[in-house]
Amino acid sequence: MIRLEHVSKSFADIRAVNDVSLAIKKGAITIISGADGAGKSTIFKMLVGLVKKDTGDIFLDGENINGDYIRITSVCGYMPEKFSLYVDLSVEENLNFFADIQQVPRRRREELKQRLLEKTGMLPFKKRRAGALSGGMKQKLALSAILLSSPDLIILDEPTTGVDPLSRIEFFAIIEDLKKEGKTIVMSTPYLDEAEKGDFVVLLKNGRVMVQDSMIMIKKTFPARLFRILPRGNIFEVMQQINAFPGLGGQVYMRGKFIRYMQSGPENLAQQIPHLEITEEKPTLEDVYIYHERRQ
Amino acid sequence: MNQTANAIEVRDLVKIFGRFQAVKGINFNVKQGEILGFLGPNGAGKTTVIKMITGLLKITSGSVLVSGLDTQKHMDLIKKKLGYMSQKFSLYPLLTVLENIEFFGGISGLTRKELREQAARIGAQLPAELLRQRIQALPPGIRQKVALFVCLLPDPEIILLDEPTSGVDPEMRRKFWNEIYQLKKNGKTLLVTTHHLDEAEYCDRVIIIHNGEIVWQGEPAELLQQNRQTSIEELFKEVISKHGQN
Amino acid sequence: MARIKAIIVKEFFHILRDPRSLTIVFITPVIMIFILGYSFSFDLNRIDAAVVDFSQSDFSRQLVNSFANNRIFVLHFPAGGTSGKSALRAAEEMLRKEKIKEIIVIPVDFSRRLTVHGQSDFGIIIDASNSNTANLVFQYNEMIVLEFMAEMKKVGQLFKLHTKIYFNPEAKSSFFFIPGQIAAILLMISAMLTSVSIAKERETGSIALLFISPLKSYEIIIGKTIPYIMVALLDGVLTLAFSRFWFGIPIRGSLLVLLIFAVLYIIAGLSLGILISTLAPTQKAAMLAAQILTMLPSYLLSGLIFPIDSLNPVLQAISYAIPATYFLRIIRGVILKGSELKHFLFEGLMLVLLGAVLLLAASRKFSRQRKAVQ
Repeated sequence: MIRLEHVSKSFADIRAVNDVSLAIKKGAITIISGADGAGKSTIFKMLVGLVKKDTGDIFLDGENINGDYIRITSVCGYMPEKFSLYVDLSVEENLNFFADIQQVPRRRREELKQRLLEKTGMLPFKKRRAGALSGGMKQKLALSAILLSSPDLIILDEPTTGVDPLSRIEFFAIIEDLKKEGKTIVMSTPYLDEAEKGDFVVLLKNGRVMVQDSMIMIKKTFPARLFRILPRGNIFEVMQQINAFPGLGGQVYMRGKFIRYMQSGPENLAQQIPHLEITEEKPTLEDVYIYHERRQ
Repeated sequence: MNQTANAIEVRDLVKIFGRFQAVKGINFNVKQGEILGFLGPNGAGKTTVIKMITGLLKITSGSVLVSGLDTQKHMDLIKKKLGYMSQKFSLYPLLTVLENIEFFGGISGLTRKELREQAARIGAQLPAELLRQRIQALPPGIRQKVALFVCLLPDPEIILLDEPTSGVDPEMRRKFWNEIYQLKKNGKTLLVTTHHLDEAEYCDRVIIIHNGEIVWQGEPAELLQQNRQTSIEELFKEVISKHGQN
Repeated sequence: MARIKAIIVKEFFHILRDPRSLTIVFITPVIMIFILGYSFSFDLNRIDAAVVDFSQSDFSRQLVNSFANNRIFVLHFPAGGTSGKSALRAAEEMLRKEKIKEIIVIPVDFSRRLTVHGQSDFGIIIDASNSNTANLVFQYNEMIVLEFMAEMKKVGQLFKLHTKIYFNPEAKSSFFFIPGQIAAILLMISAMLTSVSIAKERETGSIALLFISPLKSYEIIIGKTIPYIMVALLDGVLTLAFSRFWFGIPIRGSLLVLLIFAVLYIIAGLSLGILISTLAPTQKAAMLAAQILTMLPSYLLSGLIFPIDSLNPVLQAISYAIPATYFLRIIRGVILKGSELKHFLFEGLMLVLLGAVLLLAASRKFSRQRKAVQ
């Protein structure tokens, strides 16, 4: 649906976004992840025209938008980072205000509001002031507000950052529902375990794309293997032993009473390690991130 | 070292703010030398419990024993045993690493000599050029490492870490955990709260707290062994929805 | 229209639901007027003076008497006798400690020279740390000397001057300053209202949603301005009422005329606020900038304290670009002189002009900022 080609943006001396090309596929959830300052927000701001790109092109449905951002903003709903609407207005007043400024026809409004509040589980809190909502509910309200204009493309900039785990899970369930309705979703998150749930994932590091593919392909093509062992004897001694093997590159971690390590080569290290139990594990996105970060 | 001794014992702990009961009579122990994970949604009461353990908040009823000492009677003694690192507080941004260390070493009553000894003992891992840098110039991961270092200066036996890995990038996060394990190796007891559910797996034992009550506690490893499909996230979702929401 | 209305409604929610800010908006001006009304006074109610009389004659006593007879002078006779060097030193010490404002020194040969030559000298030492006060003290002294001379020559006064003081019969400086302060405060509050309101949206991030919504920039600006015109106007009425009933400053002219001009003046202030908000990244910065950019010029350059004529030419030129300069003339005119609409055609025109320039600049800067990002 949207394609960025060789897009760059610098602020003063800092290259916030460095030659980024990426695609956002229609009807899928694309997740952009990376540490703070990796360039996630800047990419989104350039998409909706809140930040002017230095170079590169943005395509909407195959057509170069050539600076005509209204074409994107007219089909998208954008939720900025750390955004929580007007705290002194009630849930309903907030929605009314955004319906007004987005020119949602009065006839459809009540029904739309009702549906969104139901979908997000906010109906009982209709009259509550936004400031009195929990962090997770504030985010749901903000999401409802941008859904009022029934956008096809939904851009969410770190909607779950700082939100507690349960609300994060609930928020993501709503996003998955939106995908089922045929919406295109692109969101950013600093939590790699959350990014794992995307159909497509873009991992950013210092303004550059490090990895970009479908979740399935990323896991399928991951070149290293992961093992979890339950060590025999003192775990710290076993740790030291594993750490001494060449080629593990410091990728040895304790996990409670287990040790987890990543190995790139085919050799069978397990026999050399005193263990009670060994399991090969599927890589997590965090393993993928660290693997690629190390290679750079 | 006595394996069964409890570093912290929490008995029928209650906290009431006005008409709101934030903590509803909870009981748990932190065993000496273990890493206990503290999980729960915002407002579940995690921070309230931690603040009562550190004496920052007055206990409404019940008691907290730290190394067998009652926090309501012997806070002065307990303070020497406790290290506390909060997520919000990450040192003075305009001071250098060294200046921060000297300041916090100073207020914890260490002499210059002791301070230097401690610095050498705990943190040969801090490179010399890092010491001269201002906190504000450091990435969050390094900042948290320094904060941990500072919290360890008085050599506490029990360390409370309140969301130590928030906003830290993945590799630094894993490294931070390696440091936590080093502390465990040295016999320290740790109580860690976290927003990252996957970190529950890193702990020896996990307590999930919701609406001021403990809704689940146990060993995450056991859980994953028993049932390979169940992730911590699913467990979390399940126990919390079982106990109803707000 | 529906979109502008949406913003207006939303702003009123903000205004009504934030009792703390509301209190600040309405209480601050009253407190400021209260404090400034008392402290900004150039009236002189008493002059403490030390007398060092080396002459100790009938004539010198007569001179001292004419000071003593005036109700404004309170005389002190420093220890060390009324004559001798030590008395003079003691008097100087009093002057240093600000116990007195002047020393009257009468020389030894005062009486002799007056009888022999028909004329004599005596000295007055005035504390001029505050030049304004010193000036007033000097004028009172001159008055006494004239009276004394007339008495000496026994010719009676040639003519008696009858003065009738217009507009401010008791010549109270509060009558002069308080209306001016209302003008300065009104500008400050207006600029703060819009700048803080927009900076707040910037801080919470909601401005991004307004920016990418179909809202036109002018719609945002109009929507943001109208509610605050009413708030600021109400604020103006409140401070006027306070000055009327607390300080007893009468409003001689028509309140309606005053309010009509106040609206023009407030629009200029609100526009300035929008302009400030395009430069200030946070609410705190916006508030500070609004205070400094309004208070300093309105107090120092508008004629509130110092007459514009006494400023140097560069500052004079600046003073003509300050809305407070014109509103000050209007508010003083209406309150003190009961002037009417027709007296202020020029000032009104200038307010419209300045308001229009500021509003235009603000909306251009605002919409350019919105577009610049694209």
